[in-house]
Amino acid sequence: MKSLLSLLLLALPLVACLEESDDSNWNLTENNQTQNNQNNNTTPDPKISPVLSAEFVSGHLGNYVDCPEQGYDAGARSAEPGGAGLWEGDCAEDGCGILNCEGAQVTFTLKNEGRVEAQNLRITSIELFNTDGLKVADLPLESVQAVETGEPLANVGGDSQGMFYMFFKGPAQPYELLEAQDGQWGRAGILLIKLKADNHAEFTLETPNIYVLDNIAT
Amino acid sequence: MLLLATACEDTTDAPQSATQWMLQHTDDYLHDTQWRRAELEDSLWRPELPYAQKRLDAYALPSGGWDALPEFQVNVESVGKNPKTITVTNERPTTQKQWLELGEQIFWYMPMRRDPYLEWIATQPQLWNELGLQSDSQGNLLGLVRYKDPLGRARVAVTCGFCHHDNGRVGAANSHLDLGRARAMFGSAVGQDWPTGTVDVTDDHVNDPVAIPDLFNVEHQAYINHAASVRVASPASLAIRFESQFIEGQSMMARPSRAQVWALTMFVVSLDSDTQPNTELPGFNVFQTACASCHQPEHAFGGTLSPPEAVNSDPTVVHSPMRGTGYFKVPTLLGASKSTTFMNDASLHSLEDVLRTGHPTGETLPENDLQNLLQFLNTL
Repeated sequence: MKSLLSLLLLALPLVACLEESDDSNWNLTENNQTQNNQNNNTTPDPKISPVLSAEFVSGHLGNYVDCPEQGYDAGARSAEPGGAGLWEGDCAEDGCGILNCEGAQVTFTLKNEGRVEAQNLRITSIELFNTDGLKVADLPLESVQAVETGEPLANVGGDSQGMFYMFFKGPAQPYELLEAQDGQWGRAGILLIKLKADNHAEFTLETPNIYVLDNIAT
Repeated sequence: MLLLATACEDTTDAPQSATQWMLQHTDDYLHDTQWRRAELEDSLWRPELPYAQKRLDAYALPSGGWDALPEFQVNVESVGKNPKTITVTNERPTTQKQWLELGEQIFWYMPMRRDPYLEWIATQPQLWNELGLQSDSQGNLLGLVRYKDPLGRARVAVTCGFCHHDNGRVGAANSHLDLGRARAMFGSAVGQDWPTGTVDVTDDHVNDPVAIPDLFNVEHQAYINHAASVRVASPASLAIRFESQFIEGQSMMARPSRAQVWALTMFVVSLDSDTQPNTELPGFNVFQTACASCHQPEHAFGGTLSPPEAVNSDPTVVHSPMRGTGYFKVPTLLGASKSTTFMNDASLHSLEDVLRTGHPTGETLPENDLQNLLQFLNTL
């Protein structure tokens, strides 16, 4: 009891020493440099952190008619990346040798409206949904590169934006995988792409319907 | 006063040509997203079709979408004995003549669609004649170009001139092209056979190749594509079609310069069959009775839509899950006298064949009428 009283007595001067005008000490400021507050909707402070957003430009789910082993097969493999995929190589050099064989691809813009560079920005998942809104797959990412320079996605400077190509494994059997509840032949899906930086919370890019790449486009 | 006003009313205004319309609306197409969006929606009269949905989902959106794609620079090399490099400007022309000259360059050199089998064909000059490919006086293929795709990879692509040019006639269908055989030779896993002069463009996993069409008098067509997938609401419908065709042909990774597409469209609508219909012939009277309900003289001897059961040719394409509207377009007959392929399925090879098989329904005309009609059709 005496100890508690002593503690209380000791605390009084500390309380008494607080300046009434020192209100700023009591204002909570958001610290976006930590992993705290991941799930709240507070907008990051652009002065001290990146403010990232992405917008879909175009894309397709690829065409694996003549090379189904190169696509994502829900029954046969895990979602682990399988290497460079179909986008490496030059048809003039290796002749491709296959007619309908092109990997899936999405083009998107990334904007950083904060003044701080976003570091080690990366795509963490690519979820595929059918047009009923049912998730049907996690698709493997192959690579992401800047449209203008070909450089891999990494850091995004403050107050800047860029356009990127994302290459990934599309469904080898899209029509079955994307089949709608009414049994309609699945030609389109919706992607939910999640991105994250070391100094920015995860954010998402949702595409509109994107389609299997045509065999013949005219 | 009212009588005078009526008497003074000018009822003889000539309809505006497609080229004049295009010159008037150049700024709209180049700079007004909402205008292009309205034109797109006007042309896609069957918006539920997958072909239409793709475009409605992506073209001329308030933000993002295909408009945000990087613009492609046309810098190509011809394929053949004396390859040359061609770079086409994307600067906006200032006169009609400049627009048409630019359009002609784009017609021959813009890489519309790349394919591995084309790259293989480019290395097989001994097969070019056999497959219906045509060359210029320098020994370079017409309508096939090498270029770097948006990822910087060397590719080979077709241009408009590959299919829509025949023996010096720009706009005429190259009915000698045997792309089905070319693909089969390349060893396509699909192994579908396309008759000479046809291409399967529907991508619906149904074998429905259709004849390459002539490009004459396109401004008078009410619809384009054999299954009438696109309504020609204005010349902008064609421009938007060419724009989206390029974008799809480059796997949605780049878009063409709009100035170049507008020029190409202006060039295409300027293509004329260079024929003189002779309506003084007795066969014109037969035409009026037997043909004009679909092939209307006042619309360049073309029309709107025809249900497939009214026509004796393969109707598969009109039921395509990708593009089928349930109807055929009724094509213009101007230029028919110089064609070598007829009907949507390229099943007939002369106007006489067409009449003798009883187009459209199978019933043939009395011989005298048939001969008179044939004589008239040979002036179209």
